[in-house]
Amino acid sequence: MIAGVLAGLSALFASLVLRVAFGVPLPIDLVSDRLLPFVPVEAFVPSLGVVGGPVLAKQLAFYSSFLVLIGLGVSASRGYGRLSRRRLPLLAAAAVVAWVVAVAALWPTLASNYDGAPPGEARILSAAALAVIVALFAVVLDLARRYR
Amino acid sequence: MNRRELVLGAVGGALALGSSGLAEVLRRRSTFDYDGIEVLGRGVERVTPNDRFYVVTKNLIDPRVDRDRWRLELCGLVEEQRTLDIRALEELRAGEQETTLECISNAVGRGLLSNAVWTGVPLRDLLARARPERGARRVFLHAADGYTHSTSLEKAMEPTTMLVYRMNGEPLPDRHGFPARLIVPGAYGEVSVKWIDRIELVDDDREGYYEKQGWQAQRVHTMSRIDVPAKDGRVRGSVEISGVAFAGDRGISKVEVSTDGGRRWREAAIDYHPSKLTWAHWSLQWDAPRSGTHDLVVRATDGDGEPQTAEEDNSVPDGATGLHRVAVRAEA
Repeated sequence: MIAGVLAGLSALFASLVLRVAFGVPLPIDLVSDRLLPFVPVEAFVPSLGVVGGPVLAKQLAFYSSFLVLIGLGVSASRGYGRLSRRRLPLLAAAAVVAWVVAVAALWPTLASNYDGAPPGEARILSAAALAVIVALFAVVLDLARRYR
Repeated sequence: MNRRELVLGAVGGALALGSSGLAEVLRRRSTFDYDGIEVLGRGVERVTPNDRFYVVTKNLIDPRVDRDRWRLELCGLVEEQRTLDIRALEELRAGEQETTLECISNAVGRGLLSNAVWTGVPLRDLLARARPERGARRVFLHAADGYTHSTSLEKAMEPTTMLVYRMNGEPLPDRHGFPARLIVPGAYGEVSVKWIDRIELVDDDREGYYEKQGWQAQRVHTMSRIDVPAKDGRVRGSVEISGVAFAGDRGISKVEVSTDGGRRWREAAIDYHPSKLTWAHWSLQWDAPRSGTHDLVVRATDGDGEPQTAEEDNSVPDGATGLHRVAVRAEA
């Protein structure tokens, strides 16, 4: 489990550094901006009420997204542990697939940047940031499992 | 626990510590402390100070756009695509315009509306430089934070639709869209895109962030609100009843107040209403009876002579309607 927690924490740390230093949207920004427009207003407003209003909803999203990353790490670590052979190539392949899927699914929102990078540059930055986060996640997962 | 586990634990601790430090940096910059701040009650100023102007934002942490890095792109169905930096924008002939903005989620009697003097250039001046193509029908607006919204080309070409970069004489604060935002009088605040970085002319009906959800923000409903006295307040003798009224870009022609739950109405004085684009501050002197509970109600008529609707409806999907009522208790 510790390898998974470390992988999740590494991804979290990287995403926070990229947000603070380069204005790259956090994964929760990208995912929520991609999904929320498709929530009908008739459901959106009451759902904010359920969690105590928009500010509490935002706080919940902000902090719970950290736990989600760590949870993903733990799940990935368990799955990785069950592999008996060709572990590293499979991990690398899974990381590449995860990155491609993330970039494809989040494509419209990748053009945002909180430091004001122009849209084209912002999209490259966001995609590169996702690559760094996924790669770090995979590398730390593998190294931690080997080391322990 | 063996040595290796200790090392991994230490690495994990360091990552957790580093992450919590960075998370705290972001929390301090977050919108948690100011999203949804309202302007209402006693002491509502005619022009809202920048730090008290209402804020509603989709963001966990609002952008802090680098002024030197910022560019505004005029693109899509234009004959000449243009890109401006902030200096080029500031060199254009600027004007000041006092305009009130209201959030579409503002409920009856609430304070998600504010008034400011904005400095900038009419959007139509910028669009004219790019020369819209004949087929262009709508304007699709993009912001640094990924927010989008659309409006009609006709609305964009109105002389009061402005791209602004100063607010009450100061550069736009970050939370209000630094370095530049749109001001679209007559529409709810979500159309006045902050941190705007791209204006795209299109010939289709593509929808922006909140438009996809189903919000219909292009026309502000006439509203009025009692600020003084407060709900459940105690009144005595001669009492000033006061508040604000707003009707987008249609102006306010009349405000009426009832002190008996809506049976009889008296016309209030309009103390401040510099243009059709702003709210009106109104007041009425009332000799309160010596006892009893009294239901104060306010209604406004817009500049086109259309009275405010009394039909109560929440803000979904096109803004709240209904009359604001305040019950007060009179004392001898």
